[in-house]
Amino acid sequence: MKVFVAHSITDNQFVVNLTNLLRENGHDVFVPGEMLSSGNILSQISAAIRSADVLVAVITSSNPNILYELGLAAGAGIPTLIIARASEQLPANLASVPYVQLTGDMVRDVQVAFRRAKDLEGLSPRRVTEFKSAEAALRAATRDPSVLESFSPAELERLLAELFKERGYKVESTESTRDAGIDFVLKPRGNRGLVLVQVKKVGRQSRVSVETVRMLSSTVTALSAHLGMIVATSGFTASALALAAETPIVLHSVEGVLAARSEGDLLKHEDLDIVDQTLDDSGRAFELQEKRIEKLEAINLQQQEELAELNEATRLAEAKFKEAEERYKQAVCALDLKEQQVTELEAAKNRVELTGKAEAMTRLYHELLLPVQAIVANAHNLREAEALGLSSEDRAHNAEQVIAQAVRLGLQLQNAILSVSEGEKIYKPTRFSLRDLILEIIALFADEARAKEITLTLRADSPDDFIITGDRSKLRIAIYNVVANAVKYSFSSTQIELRIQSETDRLRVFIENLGIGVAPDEAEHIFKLGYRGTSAKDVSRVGSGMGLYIARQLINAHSGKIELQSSQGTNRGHRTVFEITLPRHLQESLG
Amino acid sequence: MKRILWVEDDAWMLDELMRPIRHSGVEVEIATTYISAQEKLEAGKHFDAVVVDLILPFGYEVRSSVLSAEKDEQFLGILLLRKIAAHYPNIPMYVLTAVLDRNVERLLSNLGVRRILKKPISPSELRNALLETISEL
Repeated sequence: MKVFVAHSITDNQFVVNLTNLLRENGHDVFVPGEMLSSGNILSQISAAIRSADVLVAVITSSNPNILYELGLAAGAGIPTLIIARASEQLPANLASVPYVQLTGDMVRDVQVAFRRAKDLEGLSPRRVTEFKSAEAALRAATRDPSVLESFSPAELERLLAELFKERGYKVESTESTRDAGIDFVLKPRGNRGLVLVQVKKVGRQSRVSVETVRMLSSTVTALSAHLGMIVATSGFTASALALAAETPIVLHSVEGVLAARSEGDLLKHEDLDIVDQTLDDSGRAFELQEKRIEKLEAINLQQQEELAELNEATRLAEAKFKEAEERYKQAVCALDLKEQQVTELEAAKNRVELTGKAEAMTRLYHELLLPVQAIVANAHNLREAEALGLSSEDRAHNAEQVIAQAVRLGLQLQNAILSVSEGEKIYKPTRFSLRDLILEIIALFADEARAKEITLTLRADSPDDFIITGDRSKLRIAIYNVVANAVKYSFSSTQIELRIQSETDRLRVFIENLGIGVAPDEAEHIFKLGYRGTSAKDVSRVGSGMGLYIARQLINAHSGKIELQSSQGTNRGHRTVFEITLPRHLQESLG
Repeated sequence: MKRILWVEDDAWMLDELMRPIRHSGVEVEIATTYISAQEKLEAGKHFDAVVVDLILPFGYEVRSSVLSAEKDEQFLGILLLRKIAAHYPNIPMYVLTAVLDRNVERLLSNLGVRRILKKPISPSELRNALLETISEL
């Protein structure tokens, strides 16, 4: 090719090196400095430029002549390469002209300039005019491989762009599409979108790969174009063809492009018959795909939101679960603790009950044993009366003692049985005198009272017999227990007074003594099973704590009642009064 | 004349138990509470033996909070025997009671109680048991 190198004198070394390299590669180089012939230098330069394939303009601010040479080249349609230092302020209207920036590395800068100059060769109007038209050049190239070989890739691109222009398409080339690897953009007639065109000059044995198709497809999507077109000097791989069939990419050989008789031929795959369908399909497919993408994006967004919500919900649920777990653990701990407490409490209660029962049984045994021991002693001495020198009075007394203690033992046994028997008791009601019953009971305490210097008296408020209906033996033990209590806890040299009162439908019995009394805070407990007052323990270790409990049970069974009426402190001790009220006639069955 | 101290709160009822002993010429002094037993011992009278029931009342008349620790003793009879063993080691000790278990028996033996007699007992049996000791002295 013919290269015109426009330069200033200061750039001499670079120009010399570039000129040498071009010439070594068989190119003709015109350098103005070498044109020392006479005549009009401007016309010589002008002629040289117009006959050149490429102008290389080395621009410096010290050589404004070069702008003249650039203007000549632009006017003649000569492709131009500007070479300048980075510091050089280039005129704004040169911005679109190919440009090599000098780095200061001479060898490299010369190589780059050489390559770029060679690339521009294809744009030379001389080559195009050589074949009269782009179509002629391309037809020659398809017929003769050596002609094809003579075209540089850039030249081939330019020829194809020219071909489309010749056929009435609008062809554009912008920086952004070039950056994206697109050689030019085709606007089909009727302005139906954009077709991105890539021209591939590949070796005769090579094939355009699927990767090229894939990348163009991505670019079509990225640049919102409608179609991509690859024009190759040889064939495509099978997978490239397959992928192209699925994407808005059409593949052509140079021959195919030349053979296309209509726009439909161009914008469809070469092997497809249906004309406009391809673009429509592609367009529709694209639209559909776009819609699908939109939809997918919307779904994706929705899913992301849902996922976020789900994550949040999961997080909350987990937190709640943990909280619940914690509460559960605490509850279990509390329950364990409670159960433990209950168990301990029950164990303690059992211990108390056992101890209480054992103690009550011990005391009961002791109480039972007392009359037994008394009977044994009296009976024994009665038998040994002679040896012991008992008087007849002594013997009579001993015999009385045996009988009295036997009765007492009977009552104690009855107490014992009543205290251990649970549930129903058998009552046998009869009519009897309550006054006589009380006198009988008083007689049982004669000895004990004498020993303690206590007197027991009964005072009736009327000469009545105080007839009552009830279970005599049950009422006997009830009253016996109350009187025994009074005797046991009376101070010596005191009087126990029993009073009996007659009312229309009921009888009242008062038992009054002077002794240890009942503390106010103990009043409500004395009728409980096994309860013994603190003072009682001081006075007598004996006492099962059952007497008053059994008395109340039996009296209640007769629809009567027993109460601690009062226990008042005096200077001689507590004056304590128990009151028993019994209905004269049984309103309902006993028990 | 020999003399024994009988500590029994139900003595009025069981007085016939001591008739054979008395008939043998032994004086029987009765204490019905823990306190009165202590008083009789402290009075300086000589006793050739003591017979103690384990279940005893403390004695209401001398109630005092100072003595509350003593009152808490389950068997005041044991407390009394402990005191006798400590202060009057020469007085032979007898127990006459209805309540007994192995632990109490072991405790009483350790205290130096000579014999443990269980109610009910016949008066002559009690007399023989006591006289055995008393005639040794």
